[in-house]
Amino acid sequence: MKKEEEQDNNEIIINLDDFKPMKLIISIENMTSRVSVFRDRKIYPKDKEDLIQHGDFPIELHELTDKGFILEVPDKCCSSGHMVKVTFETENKRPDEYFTFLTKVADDDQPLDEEDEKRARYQDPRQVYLFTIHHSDLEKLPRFEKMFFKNQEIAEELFETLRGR
Amino acid sequence: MAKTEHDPVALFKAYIANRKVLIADPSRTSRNALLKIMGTLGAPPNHVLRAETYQEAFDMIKNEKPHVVICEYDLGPRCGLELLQTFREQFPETKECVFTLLTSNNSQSAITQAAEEDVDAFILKPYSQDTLTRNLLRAALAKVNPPDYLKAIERGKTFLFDKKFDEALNEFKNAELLDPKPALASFYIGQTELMKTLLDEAESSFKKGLTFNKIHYKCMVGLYELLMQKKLYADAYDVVRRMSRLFPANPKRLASVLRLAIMNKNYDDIERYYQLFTGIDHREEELIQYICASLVVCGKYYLRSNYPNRGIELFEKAAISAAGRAKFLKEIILGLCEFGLHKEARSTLRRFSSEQQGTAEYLSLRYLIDTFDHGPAEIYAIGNQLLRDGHADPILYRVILKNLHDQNQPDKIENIMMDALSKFPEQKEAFEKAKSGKMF
Repeated sequence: MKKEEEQDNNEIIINLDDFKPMKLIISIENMTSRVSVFRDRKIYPKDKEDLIQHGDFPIELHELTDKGFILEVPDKCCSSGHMVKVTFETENKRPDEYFTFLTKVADDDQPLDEEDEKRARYQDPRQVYLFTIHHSDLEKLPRFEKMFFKNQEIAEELFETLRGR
Repeated sequence: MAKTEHDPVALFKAYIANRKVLIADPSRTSRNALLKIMGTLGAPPNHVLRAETYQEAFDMIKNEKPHVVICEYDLGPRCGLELLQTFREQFPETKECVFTLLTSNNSQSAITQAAEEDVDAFILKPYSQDTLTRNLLRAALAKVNPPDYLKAIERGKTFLFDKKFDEALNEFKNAELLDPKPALASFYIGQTELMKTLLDEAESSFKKGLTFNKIHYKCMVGLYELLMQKKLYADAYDVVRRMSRLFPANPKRLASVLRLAIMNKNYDDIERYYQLFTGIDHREEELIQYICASLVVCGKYYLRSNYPNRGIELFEKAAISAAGRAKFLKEIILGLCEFGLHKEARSTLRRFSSEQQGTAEYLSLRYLIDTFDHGPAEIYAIGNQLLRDGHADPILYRVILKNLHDQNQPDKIENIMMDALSKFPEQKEAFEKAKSGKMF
C-alpha cells in the first residue's frame, strides 16, 4: 500500500462499507381474506415460486412507527382489521435482512382533506395503511429498525463531513 | 429566560409559524405523513403546499415562494435536486430557508451530490417521525441560530453572490478568526480569490483549509477545480483520486475523473471508478459515454501489455455498460479482433439490437469476425457481395483491401481503393494502411 493511501486510511472517519444501499422486496399474505401479494401480483392460493415475477416493487415501506410501519399497498389487498403477514427481504437475500411480521391492519386509508381526497380518487390507485405488529413479533422490531437507522446515521455523518465547516 | 430560547421544538414552531412549506413527493403516503408531521411541528395546515410532480413543485416554488422545501429525490423523470436551483433563485440569501432532501434512493453518490449542492438535510426512507423531526429541527435551527463563525460566512456568501469580492473577502477573513479550525472560511476565501482570478492565492487558501482539516471535502474540490483550470492535470488527478478513496463519487465529477485517469495513464484506477459507476442510480449519457470509452482504452492497454484475461474482462464490462450503443460495441469488436479474440468478438456482436443488425456497420463487423473462419478467396467474394448489396462501410473496405494485399492483387486493390475513397475520403489513412497489409 502506498504511503499516501495508508495516511488516507488513518483519516477515514466513516466506514462507507457499513453503509448498505438496499432494495427491499416486500410481500404480504392476508390471513383474513386469503390473498397473497408479491410484487403487485395477487395469487390464489399462495405459491411463492409462482409469485416471483420481474417488475416494480409496488409495496412500499414509508415510515416506521412505534409499534409497526406504514405501507403503501396495491388496491383492495387488505382492509382495516385484517390480520396480515408481512415479509421483508433485501435483494441480496442476506438472512439477517429477512423479517416476517404478523400484523393487524390498524388504519384505513382515509383522505386527510379535500385536496388529498381529490388526488386519491383521480390520481392514485394505491392504499395506505398502518400495520401494527402483533405482540408475539414485537421483539423483532428493534433489529428491523436498526437496519434502516444505521444507514441514516452514516448518511447524516457523511453528509455533515462532506459539507464541512 | 423564556422557555423558547432552549426548546428546539418551540424555536422551530416560532420559525415555521409564518412561513410556507412545500412537500414535493410523488407518493401520496409520504406527502400525507409529512403533512401530519409538519402539523405537529407547528406548521399551519393552510401554509403547507403539496406537489406530486416536478413541474407542480417548480411552479409552486416560483409562485408561492415557500421557505421550507421537503423534496423527494426521485420526482418522476426529474431529480428533486434540480429544484434547489429554482429555490435558491427565489432566496439568494440562503439564511432561514431550508431545503431537505428525502429519498428512498440510498446510494452513497446521492448523499455526495446533495451535500455538494448545499442541501440542508438528507433523510432516507423509511424514516421515523423522530428522524425526520431531528433533521428538520437541526437544519432549520442551524439557519435561524447559527454560531458567529457561520454567520460571518453567510454574510460573505451574500457579498460573493452579488460579486462584491472585497467585502466578501473581509467577511471570510473575519470568520477565519472565529473558529479554531476554519477550513470552510479558507475554502470561501479560495473561492473568492478564484473568482478574482488570483489563482496562486486561491491555491494557497485551499491548501491552508486542508491544514485545518486534511479531508475537508470542499477544499479538496476547490483545489481540484483550480488545478484543472491551471491545466496541472497530474496534480489535479492526485487530488481527485484521493477524494475518490475517501468519499463516494459525485456522478457529475466522475466523467472528468475518468478523463484525467486516462490522460495520466492511470489505467489501474479505471476498474475502481467502474465500481463507483455501478453504484450510481442516475447515470447521465455523458458519464455512460466516458465509462465505456475508458473501459475500452483500458481493455486495449491490458491486451497490449499481455494481460488478456483482464483486457477481456474490461471489454465485457464496457459492452454491458454500452447497452447497445453501436459506436462502443464497434470499438470493442475492433479491439478484440486486433488481438485475434474472434470468439469474444462474436459474443460482443450479439449485443447489437435486432434493429441494428441490418446496418452496414453491423454487417461489416460480422464480416470482419467471419474472416477468421474463411479462406482468402471466400473473404473477397463475401465482401464484394456486401458491396454489391449496398452495405458500403469503412471497415468493410479495410477488410477487403487487407485481404487483397495478402493475396497480392494490386489491380483489384486500386479499383476498391478508388471506390472506398469516393465514399469515405476522410478514411484515406486507414485505407492506405489496410492496402499495405495492416488492418489495425
